[in-house]
Amino acid sequence: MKQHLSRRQFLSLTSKSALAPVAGRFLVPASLATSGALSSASSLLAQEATIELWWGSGFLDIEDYFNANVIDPFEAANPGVDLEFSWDVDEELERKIPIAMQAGAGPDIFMGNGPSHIQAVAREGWLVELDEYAEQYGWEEKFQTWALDTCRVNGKLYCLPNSVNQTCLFYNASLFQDMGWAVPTTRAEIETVAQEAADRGIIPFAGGTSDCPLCVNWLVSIAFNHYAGPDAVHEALTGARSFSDSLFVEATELLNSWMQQGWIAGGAAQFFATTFSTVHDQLVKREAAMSMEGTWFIPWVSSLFAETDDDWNWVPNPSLREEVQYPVIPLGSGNTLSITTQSENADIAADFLNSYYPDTATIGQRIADHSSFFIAPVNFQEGDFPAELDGRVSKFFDLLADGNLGYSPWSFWPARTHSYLYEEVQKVFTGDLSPADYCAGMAAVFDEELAAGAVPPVFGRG
Amino acid sequence: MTAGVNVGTARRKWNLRRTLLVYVPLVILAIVALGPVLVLLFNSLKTGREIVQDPLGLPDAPQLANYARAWRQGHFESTMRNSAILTAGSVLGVCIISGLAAYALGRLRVRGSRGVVTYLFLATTAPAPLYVIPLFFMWTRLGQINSLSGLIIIYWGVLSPFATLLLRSFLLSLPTELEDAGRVDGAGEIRVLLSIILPLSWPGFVVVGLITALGTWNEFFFANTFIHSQRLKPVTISLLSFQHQFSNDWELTSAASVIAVVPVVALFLVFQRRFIAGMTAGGLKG
Amino acid sequence: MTWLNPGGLPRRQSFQGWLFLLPLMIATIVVIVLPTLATVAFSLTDWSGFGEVTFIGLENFRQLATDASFLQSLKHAVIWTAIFLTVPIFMGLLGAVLLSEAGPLQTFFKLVYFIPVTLASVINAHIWRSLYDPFRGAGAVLEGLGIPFLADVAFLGEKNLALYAVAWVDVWRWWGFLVVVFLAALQAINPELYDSAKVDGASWWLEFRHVTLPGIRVTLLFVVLITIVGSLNVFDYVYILTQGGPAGATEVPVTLLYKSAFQKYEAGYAAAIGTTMSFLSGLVLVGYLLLQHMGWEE
Repeated sequence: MKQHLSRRQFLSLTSKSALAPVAGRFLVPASLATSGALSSASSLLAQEATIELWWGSGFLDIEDYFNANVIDPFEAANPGVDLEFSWDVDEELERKIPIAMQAGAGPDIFMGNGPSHIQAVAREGWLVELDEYAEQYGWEEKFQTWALDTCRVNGKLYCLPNSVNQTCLFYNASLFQDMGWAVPTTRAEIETVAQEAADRGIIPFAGGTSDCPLCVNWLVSIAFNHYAGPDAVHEALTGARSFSDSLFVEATELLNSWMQQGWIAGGAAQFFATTFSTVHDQLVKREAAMSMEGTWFIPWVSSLFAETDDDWNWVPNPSLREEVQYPVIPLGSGNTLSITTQSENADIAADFLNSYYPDTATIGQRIADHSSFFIAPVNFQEGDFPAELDGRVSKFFDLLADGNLGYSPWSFWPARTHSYLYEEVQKVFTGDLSPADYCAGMAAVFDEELAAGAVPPVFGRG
Repeated sequence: MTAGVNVGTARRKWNLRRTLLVYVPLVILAIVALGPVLVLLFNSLKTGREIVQDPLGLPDAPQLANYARAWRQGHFESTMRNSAILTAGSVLGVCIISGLAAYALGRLRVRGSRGVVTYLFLATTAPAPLYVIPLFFMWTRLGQINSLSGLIIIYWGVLSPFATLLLRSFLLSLPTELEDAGRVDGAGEIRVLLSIILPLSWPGFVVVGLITALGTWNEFFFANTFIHSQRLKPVTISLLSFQHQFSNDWELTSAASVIAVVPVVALFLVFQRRFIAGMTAGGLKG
Repeated sequence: MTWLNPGGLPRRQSFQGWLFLLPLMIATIVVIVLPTLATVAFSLTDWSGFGEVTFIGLENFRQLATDASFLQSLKHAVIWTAIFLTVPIFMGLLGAVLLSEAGPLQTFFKLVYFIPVTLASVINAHIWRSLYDPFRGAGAVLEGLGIPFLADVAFLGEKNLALYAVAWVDVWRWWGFLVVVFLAALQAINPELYDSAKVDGASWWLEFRHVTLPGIRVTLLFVVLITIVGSLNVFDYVYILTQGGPAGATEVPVTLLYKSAFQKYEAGYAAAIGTTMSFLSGLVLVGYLLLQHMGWEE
């Protein structure tokens, strides 16, 4: 609560100072969003502007909530400013940004697809440096440091992290209880559970990529981060260790051995052809024991179990090699928010961004209301999460604080290496490519991109 | 259509066999065509949980509310209007452009017409991802992005070649006496086209119009690349309104799909007889 | 009165003809040809999709000629063409011939066959993804009804089946269109030809071979041509259903183009793929026109 109060004081201070007729960069952060602050700041940005925002598909099912909590308050606080939202499927958005920017038709703000995307876009000079705004609005204190660091290119800030995610292990907790299985934290433990499940005709790991072929990268992420380990991945991403290293080969071999035993989805062919709906229904109906997916599915899994007698839970995946300290949390940046250099109202855009991340208690409430849309990596304080928030959602943030942080491929691999990672691993599963050749191939593509300076920034160890 | 006529009532047994021979495969084909569509229809009436648990079964209690939610969340009020504008503009323009061109190719002796026909075949099948990036740059220069009219012009370019080929083969099948008579009476080519060819060839235009309407109504790639404003997006974009990062509200997507297809099916129902008649008269020729 | 002049008539018609062709030429040149030419120019560069452009000559094409995944994708395009030259054309012909005998129910069946044609590709793809699901799809439902032979078949997951499974979805929404096309062609055949065949006591097959098939020949050739060139450039259903996977089993040239341009940021290479495919399509068409010129059609 202390944090909350001081922020309000800060707000009223800046509001007063901005009553002086200053323009541009010193315009006031009008709607730092707690409703009490709105009225005092309302008249300060009385200029006509349309802010065009290209948004990912995340908020579509809660459009009313989004309007009421994000758009309306800002527009009310800034008469004359019109927020024009345009949503898109995330993949389409990533494709459209470079085309639009080169044509000079870019938006004011857009939702980026993680650091590796931002890296490519920022290097073209299409993004506004946010460092001054960060200072002005106190973003350094608000966001978790590692998260903000993923938004830096050559030391300069180009985006704000909008949501983070991690791969994790979902399991049918009731099934585990009935079977007397302990939640696995080591390779030996998870292989024991998997073997016992398989012996009973239960699929150890439900899985499928029919809806999203590139989501096979989740499995590679798990193998690399939990077997080779975050230290090895960090070394590889900074060029100190080759992707052809035996650790990555062994990781791929382990993953492939699970696939070939039929532990994942019953086998490679089923894995490629199964839909997400089926994966989760198998978990609910005890046809499968676990599934290696990610925290993005928490709301869906939760809703499917809601009307059954069974219970569910999730944990970080076990560490698959003794030297890898448990728990490893492979971080992924779900998406980021950036201002483009084609914005004629960068100050207003920055002000909107700031209002989009209100005080941490309000963010905590939003997560409780709709855990699917706003997993912002801010520095939460004790008591920010309301009591009604499911512990399985807030656990995510606790783990961030304590875990051995790892690196998700979709955020930290450069584009071509990432494409190689999910295209070619399918050939490992179909027996057309050996794990050693797979890793050697990845090393070759990565080395080219490293030499070309295309590797996104990687947060350090320790 | 012809065989049954001459076969007398005396050979009833033959008739029955023939009827079975015709209707059994017809029904099998109908099941093939309709089965998956029924799955879609059923799913549009289920709850999300039902779809997950039993994706191919009948709905427990029909959820008509899905349609209302899909209509609202998919912003169909504006996307239907935009798609109607796009379709009308596209059909009108394509009919004019391809009508003029087909007249030249089918009725006038034009040097190089064979080359033009080849060119049209190539243009018909050019894959959009091949040229979309430069096209976007050009459209930005011309101030044509994020505008329905800019998109309509793209549809003219993309859909006219096939329409021209269709209309040309239709015109080739028309007798030439009337227009020759017209020319002898001193009518210019435009008069010949408007007062003689056009009245004769409207069935061909029904075909071209329907195919163009279908192509425009279901078009996604260009629409999603060139339109950014929410208020200008067409119906195909509505179908994507229920996606989350890795999941989808399939009950709403299904309901939205049914909503989106109703106008097209209705259009086909209204015009199908003329559509067939138009195709019949023209046939398709390379 | 120039058109009464034997020499003047074609020339004047030719000029006017080109005037009538002008809107079409402008629309297609602006929307398709100019951007395609720009793409051809990009195919000679190492352009990533943004940023600097360096001229590298024919390097992309050299690379393409030895790119195993491109050669494999060409093979898939050929298989796709073979499927589309047979399955939907057979189904379309069958449907049309039967419909022409169907009497009062013709309209009903025609509409039923046409409905899949009217659905958007994303929807068709979704329906079939559910039907193909190895655990909850059609195979599993049939198993529940006592028909076990499709159970556990992962249509989109087996690398030997996936291409056919994807092609079937596209066939499913396409054949109904051919029914209507062929039905129209059948109705244009002079009924007297059938009557005289009847009088001669021709069997059903002979009637089909000697009256029906010749009667729809031009339509058939048109469909064949569109099928071949369209199959070389197939994209949407493959991309939506499998993105070319699993393990490249359904990769076709245009999915490769799309991925190179938008996922790997290799726009120059993508342009080279597109240029090559346009060239191949052109070759097919010129071959067809040569055959036609040699009197194959007329």
